Amino acid sequence: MLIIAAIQAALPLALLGNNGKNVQELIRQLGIDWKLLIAQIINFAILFFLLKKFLLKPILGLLEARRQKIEKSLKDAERIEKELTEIKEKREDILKNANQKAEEILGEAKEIAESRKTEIINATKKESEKILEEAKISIEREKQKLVDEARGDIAELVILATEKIVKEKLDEEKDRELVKEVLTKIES
Amino acid sequence: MHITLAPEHLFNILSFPVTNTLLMTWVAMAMILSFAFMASRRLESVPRGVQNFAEALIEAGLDFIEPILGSRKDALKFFPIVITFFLLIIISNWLEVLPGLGSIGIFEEVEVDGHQERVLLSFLRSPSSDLNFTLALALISVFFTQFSGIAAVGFLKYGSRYISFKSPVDFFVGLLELISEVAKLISFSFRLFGNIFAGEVLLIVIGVLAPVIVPLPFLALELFVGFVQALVFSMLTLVFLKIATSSH
Repeated sequence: MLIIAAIQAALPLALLGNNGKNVQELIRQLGIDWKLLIAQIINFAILFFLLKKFLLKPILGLLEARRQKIEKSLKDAERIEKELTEIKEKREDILKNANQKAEEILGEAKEIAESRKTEIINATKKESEKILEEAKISIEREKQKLVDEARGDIAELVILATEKIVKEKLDEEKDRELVKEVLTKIES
Repeated sequence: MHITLAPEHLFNILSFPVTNTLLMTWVAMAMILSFAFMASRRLESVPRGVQNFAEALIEAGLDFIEPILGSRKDALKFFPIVITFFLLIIISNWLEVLPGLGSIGIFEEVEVDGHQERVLLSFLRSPSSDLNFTLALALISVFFTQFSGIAAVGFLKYGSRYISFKSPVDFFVGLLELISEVAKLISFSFRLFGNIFAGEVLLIVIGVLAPVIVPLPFLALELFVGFVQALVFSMLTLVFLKIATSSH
């Protein structure tokens, strides 16, 4: 077979001999042709640039964009969660504050109501006492007046009766006795 | 059976020789580019179909090379060249198992071992089984690495890796580095060429010996070898790029 012959013939000569002709023969046997070599290099270069332009650049860009998008979404999610917790905390705080304030207000209101109540009760008591006192005084005065009037009336009656008795017939002695008796009665 | 190391010359375009491997390189390029166009024709933020596949491929590739390069920025910088190597080589390698390989072609009279013989010139031959193709890739890989190194650490600093007069040890280390760059060219090109060419010959021989069923495991093996070689080529390029661009 040619391949074995070629290797047998070419390799030792190329490796051992320093003859340029043998190297050329080896290169010919291996089929190395500078025109083809350059063609293959150009092929590779074309493939490299086309692949870079049409496959790698757009897809790498896309992958990068997607990576950034995912990163951003994750960050956003984290931020939103944080905000949510903050809001929850705030809401709880506000609720707690409101409750406290309401209780405070209620307590104050109770206190005020209590003090008003005692005030009103006191005032009423005082008023009623005053009225009672006044009534008593007025009753007393009325009573005194009545007594005075009655005393006047009685004295008049006594004088009238006395006069009547005296007019009928009365001696000195009897008169004196009578007056004495009346006076004693009155004094008692 | 007629097997040559050199690709078969098919026809000329304006005195430019077109070989079957060059033709198949164009086929491979057309396949990759049509995939690229299909994937990125209508980009949607919610990927579907081809776009989804392309995205998965690119993301997997990026995630794979990022820990090797150490940073996302470097990964994005070197990803295009590495993925181009990988795609072109893997498609080229897999063209090897295409049915009709080595059997569709034209008969031609050629001179073999001093006498005329009527042989079949196959239309289909994997580009990777042509040393022109693999050598071209190796040249691109090595020169791209050198330029990236110069761009990353500066011309003088990068040059001092190869030519250094600080001490005799440094001088010889530099010489060895210089030789190793040439060795890289040879190892890159011959590794890929040897694997795929051998696979191709194996498939042809097996096909001649037992045309049905028996070649199946060999086809599977060649698919695997094709994948591994593409991976090895692109990963070695990546590692050399990493070494060249890091100022140690």
